[in-house]
Amino acid sequence: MKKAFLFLLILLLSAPCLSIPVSVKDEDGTEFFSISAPKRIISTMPSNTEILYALGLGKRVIAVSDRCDFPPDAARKKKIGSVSLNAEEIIALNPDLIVMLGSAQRAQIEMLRKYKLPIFVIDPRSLEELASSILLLGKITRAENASRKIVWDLNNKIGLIEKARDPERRPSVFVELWHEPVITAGKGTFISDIISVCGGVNIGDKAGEGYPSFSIESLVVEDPDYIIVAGSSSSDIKKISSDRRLAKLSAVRHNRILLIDADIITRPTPRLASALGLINTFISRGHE
Amino acid sequence: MSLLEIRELSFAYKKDPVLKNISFSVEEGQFIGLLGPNGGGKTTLLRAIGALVPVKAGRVFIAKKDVSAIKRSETARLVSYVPQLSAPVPGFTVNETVLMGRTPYLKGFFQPSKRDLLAVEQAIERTGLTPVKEWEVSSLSGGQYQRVLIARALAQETPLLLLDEPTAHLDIRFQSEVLALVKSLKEKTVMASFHDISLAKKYCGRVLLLDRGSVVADGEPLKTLSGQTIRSVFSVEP
Amino acid sequence: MNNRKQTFLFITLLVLLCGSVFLSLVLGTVFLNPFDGSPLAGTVLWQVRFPRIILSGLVGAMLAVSGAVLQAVLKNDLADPYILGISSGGALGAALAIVLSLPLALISSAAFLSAFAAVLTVAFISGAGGRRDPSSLILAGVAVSSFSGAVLALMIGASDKLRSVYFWILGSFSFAGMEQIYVSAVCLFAGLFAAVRLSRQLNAFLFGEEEAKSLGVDTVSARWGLLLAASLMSGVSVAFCGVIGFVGLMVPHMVRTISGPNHQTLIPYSALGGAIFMVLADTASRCLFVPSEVPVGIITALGGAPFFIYLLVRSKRAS
Repeated sequence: MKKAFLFLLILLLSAPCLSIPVSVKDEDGTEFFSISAPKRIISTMPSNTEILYALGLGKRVIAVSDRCDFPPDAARKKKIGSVSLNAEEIIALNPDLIVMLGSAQRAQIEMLRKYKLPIFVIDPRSLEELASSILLLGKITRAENASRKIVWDLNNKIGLIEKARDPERRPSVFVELWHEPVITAGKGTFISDIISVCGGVNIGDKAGEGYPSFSIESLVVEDPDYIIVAGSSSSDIKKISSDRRLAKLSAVRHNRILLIDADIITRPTPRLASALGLINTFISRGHE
Repeated sequence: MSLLEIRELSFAYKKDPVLKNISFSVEEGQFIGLLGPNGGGKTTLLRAIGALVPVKAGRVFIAKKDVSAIKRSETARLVSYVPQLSAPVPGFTVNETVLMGRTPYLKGFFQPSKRDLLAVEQAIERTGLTPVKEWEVSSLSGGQYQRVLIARALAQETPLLLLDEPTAHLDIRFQSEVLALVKSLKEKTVMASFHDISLAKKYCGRVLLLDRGSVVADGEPLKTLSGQTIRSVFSVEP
Repeated sequence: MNNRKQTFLFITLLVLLCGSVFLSLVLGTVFLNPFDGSPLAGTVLWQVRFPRIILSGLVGAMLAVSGAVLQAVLKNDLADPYILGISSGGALGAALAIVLSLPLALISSAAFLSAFAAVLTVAFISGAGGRRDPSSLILAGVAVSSFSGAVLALMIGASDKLRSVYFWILGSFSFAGMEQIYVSAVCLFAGLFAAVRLSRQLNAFLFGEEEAKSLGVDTVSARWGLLLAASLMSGVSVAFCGVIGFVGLMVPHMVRTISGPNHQTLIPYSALGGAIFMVLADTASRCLFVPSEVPVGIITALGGAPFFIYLLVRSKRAS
């Protein structure tokens, strides 16, 4: 008995020193092996920075891209470039984990791989994929509990919305990301995903994938029930509400225009959950 | 005053003097041949008379008017110029090219008047171009096009007509044709530069010999173009 | 070209213009009957499509006439406001005025002035040293165009007031408003007036500087007047619609093939031809990838660049 107790005591005391080696395949298919939890993390994309902070790893992030602005603490971290990454700086910082975004940073990934750096690639293209990406990141950083919580929150929110929505109602929604020329979000974007979860029809899907342009004429013809403007101030809404050609749109006449922060609907981060909430509330408003 | 009066005309391209203090006068109806070695200033003299180069030293008077003091459109009614080498502008007919000669008389938006059309018709007839007047100029021979340019200058109806080496690029048979035509323009005062001394002797009533920017001889061809003069100016046997 | 043929050609061009306008009204995201009375049709037809059609016609005419004038004055068949960097220069002036929040009239004036400055720069660079061969003009145009484009890109990156690069560099009629239409109409009228009034001088220029002078043309003032007219028209066009290239190159050439180099016909027919061309190009830009919009500059370049190469090769072969 005494021996067993002693063994358990030693085990418990050494628990903090216990590093569990983990091997995870990233979304590029590369096997990433780490002996212990990464403590010197670099994030090259604002969305990944947000995820890392959401996982509670803010203290372990040692450098971020120039454009990482959320949460505010991230902006104070050391910067290593944005579109063109400062390879020298990155190498000098001796990171043990560099999180990169597959779809947007292909060239940079290839460049950094040459230096045999510890690169971990995630590439979420939909809400579902985002969930699995967050879990993957949680595994490699040993923040699994945190990751599971975030994913559970997200899925829970999605579930609640899907259950509560009226199957008869399929309002049409137009999201404007830029006004001159009008740019919207098409198929395969998070915005499109969010809108379909909320039970709406994304008009932008008709223009193809990604972020295509949309003619004023088509907007007039489509006459969406709801308009969402991605912007930062009321002047962004004014661009639509004061355009004479769009004056007859039902969304304009009934003031069904929502201003939303572009970052929370385009970045694959946990904040998509709040975007989901905002948009759902917005398009659930009945017809006046 | 004579029709054309040149007083102490000097001209230099940048620092290079081309014409040195030239003075002479030309009476109405004369056909003057301008001779001299290449680079002697023949073309520049003609250009200066036609106000095609800016003259800063000396004066050129045509019909008592100082060409540097009057508007270009007025000068164009006093002197017309047939250049040495001119590529035909494709797309224009003979008629249209000759009509260009009426430019100093045509006003802005207005269409050519009967007067203008008559001048053109007469010029074309005079130069024997009537059968080809609707032809496109790029389909003409060198000699024919030269005649078109002369017709254009005729249509300009100027008292003074300048020709720069009118026979330089023509076949021998065309040379005599063109010169005979020019000689027949008795009511005009003509000044033409020549490469070929014998042609000048044959057709001109007066010749001016220009060497290194100065007039070295001036008078009737037979008297002026003595063997000695030619030898010294051209360094050849006549 | 005799008078009967001329009248026939003129009427044909007018008919084509009306036809293009009609086609452009009818085609788009949806096929619309112009006499349809519904409010949706009303908005789309008269608020969205019609102003664009008018502006594209005016701009097309201005660019075509500018091209014809530049080709005669600069004695280069390949001259066109875009190729010579005049459009980019004009865009720079307009962008600057927009950043300073100046009213529309001043924006157009700024575009006009900077377009003219570009003309002078190009003429100076290519004429400096006495050489006047055609390629040096084009090279000067490339230099001015690249420089203006680079400065413009910097300005766009730094200022929110400027429309996107998309608009300036590729051209678009989607911002057609009544103000722009009025100013464009006035400038087209002024430019056309000058070009038609100086038609004979333009013809004389074809024969060379010396012959033009001997025919009584005041070449210096004629040249200034014509270059000012070309700068005004191309500057205003780019201020309202961004850089649209090759119209000034293609249309005069096509008109010349049909009715000859006489500017008394070339200028007015180029204006009509340019209007038709631009209205059709704008229609294509709206209809090719509905509901997206292809910038109209891409459409003119798709036709214009091969045409330019063809002309270049042909002129090299001839020389």
